[in-house]
Amino acid sequence: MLGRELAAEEHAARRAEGHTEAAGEPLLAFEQVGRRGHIEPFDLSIQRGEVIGMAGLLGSGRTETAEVMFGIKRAHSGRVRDVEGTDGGKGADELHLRGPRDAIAAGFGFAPEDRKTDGIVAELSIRENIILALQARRGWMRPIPRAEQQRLANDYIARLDIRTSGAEKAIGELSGGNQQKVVLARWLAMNPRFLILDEPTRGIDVGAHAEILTLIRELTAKGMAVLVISSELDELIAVSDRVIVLRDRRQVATLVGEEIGLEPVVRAIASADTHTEEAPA
Amino acid sequence: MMPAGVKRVLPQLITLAVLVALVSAVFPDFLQLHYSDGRLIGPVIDVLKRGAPVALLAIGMTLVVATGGIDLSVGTVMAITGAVAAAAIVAGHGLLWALGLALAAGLCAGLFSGCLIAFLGIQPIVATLILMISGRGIAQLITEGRILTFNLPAFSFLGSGHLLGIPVPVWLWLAAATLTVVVVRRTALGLLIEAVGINRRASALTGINARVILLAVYMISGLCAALAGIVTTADIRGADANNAGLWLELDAILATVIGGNSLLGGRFSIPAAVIGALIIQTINTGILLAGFPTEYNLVIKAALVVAILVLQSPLLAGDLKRVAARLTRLRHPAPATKKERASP
Repeated sequence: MLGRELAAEEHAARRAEGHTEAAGEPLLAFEQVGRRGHIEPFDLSIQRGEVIGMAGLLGSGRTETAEVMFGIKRAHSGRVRDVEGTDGGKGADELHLRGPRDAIAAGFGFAPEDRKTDGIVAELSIRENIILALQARRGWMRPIPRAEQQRLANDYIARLDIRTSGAEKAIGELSGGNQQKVVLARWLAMNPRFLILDEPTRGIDVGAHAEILTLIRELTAKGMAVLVISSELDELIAVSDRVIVLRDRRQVATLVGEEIGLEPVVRAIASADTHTEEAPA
Repeated sequence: MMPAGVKRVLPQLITLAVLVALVSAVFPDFLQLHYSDGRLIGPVIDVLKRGAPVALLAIGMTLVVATGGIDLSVGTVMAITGAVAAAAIVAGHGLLWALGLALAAGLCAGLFSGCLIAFLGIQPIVATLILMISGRGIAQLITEGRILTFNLPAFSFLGSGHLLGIPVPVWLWLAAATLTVVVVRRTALGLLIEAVGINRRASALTGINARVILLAVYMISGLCAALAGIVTTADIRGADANNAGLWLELDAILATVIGGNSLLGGRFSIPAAVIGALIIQTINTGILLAGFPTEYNLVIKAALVVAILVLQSPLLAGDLKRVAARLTRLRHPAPATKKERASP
């Protein structure tokens, strides 16, 4: 867990940076999207260059929300509009997310919570894991040339500081933090518009923690929108422009700007009725 | 350093060489080759030819096994496709129709199993069991319960003909294996198959169309079974719904496993599986040539297969390495610590 001073520092640095030229342009709008038994209908508009934090207790519907957004579980209600590049949302395209392939085609990326079962393909090499999404998008008929694969792999190994003896090592042999970096590299190679990170720093050593938070900042500076789900509130507060709080499969609060802080978030997570005793301090 | 491709099939090549040496020891003429009447003749050529059906099946089986699946239906699909080809010829259609219909029947069989597995989520062993059981009935319906014999030299050529002195079935499995290797390795298909086999859920989340991949491997397997059925039917100039391809699905699975392909899915090698098919055929032919009483055949075959699998087992390989390391230490005792280094 990050020290609180570090968190505050991150936060301040983030605010000081101000908005990049792309930030604030509307990108996507989820309108009354929901799935019975999984997540109550919610509204969420996403802007370029924005980090949205999602907080809530275990079982509050955070991962379910991400899965509905990425098309893994189909929404039963609502619609998703692709607002970018259209005038004030007029004539905006509606996105039909029937599966991850649709979401990926729309420029989404998703690094799942359970790296081992949902993220990595353990026996494949780092190189193969990095190019996998890119190759899936190109289709099996158009293989990425080997030289290009190697260039991509070496590029991301250097850029994300992935600790490995080489790109041909099986990803299963890496440490958790380095596996997570490879999964991130896989999506960065796709140059997504909207990246969903579910517990990106779980089970990762402190050094890699900080690196991943820094990376999120760099990505949003280039205009990418990122949704971060995390149980580590210090970290969530440090990195987010906006924090959404879920409770009982429902969005109960949205905190922006000055409101983002440990106490308001904890209060929203735990407020009123249930679960108070389980709230993390 | 030898190329990675050769290194991968080295255990299979060594096994095959040892078996050939064993068979030669009890039957010294095993490696003899004659050239007469424009064709090569000899026990080795016989192995290459008789191994054709299992070699063809092993190509498709390897891809299916790489996805973590299994195809029990290939033996009966051979019977179905053979019956379709024979029925087409008996009905007066030509070579192309017979081939086209038989291959289409194989594709349909693969499509059926593939749909059950990819779209309905039925376990591969159960889904392909359906066709394994019902397939002989389908073949009998096509042949109307008889052994359908035919006389079409162009078709028989595929089973018993020769090209450049080599039996045509040998060319067929060589061509099918080469073509499949080129297709899966020169495109991204091989990588996508391996990814789905290792972790289907993670693969689907990266945008791989896992369903289409599964459908494709069962259809390729059906196509390979159709080719094997054509070769068998053409060789005996007749379709025998009861016996064509009987139990060959098990030999095909065995060939794939001897080829070092894990039934759990993942990394695969088609050349190794095809060599595995030749290993099985060498055992079959060798037992016959060695002149053992026929009732010993299956037991000897089983003993040899067990020996091969034990020698290839990764656990044993680890043990051998440790034993070798200990022997070198005994011979050159290390000075200070005896502590084994724990894996980092």
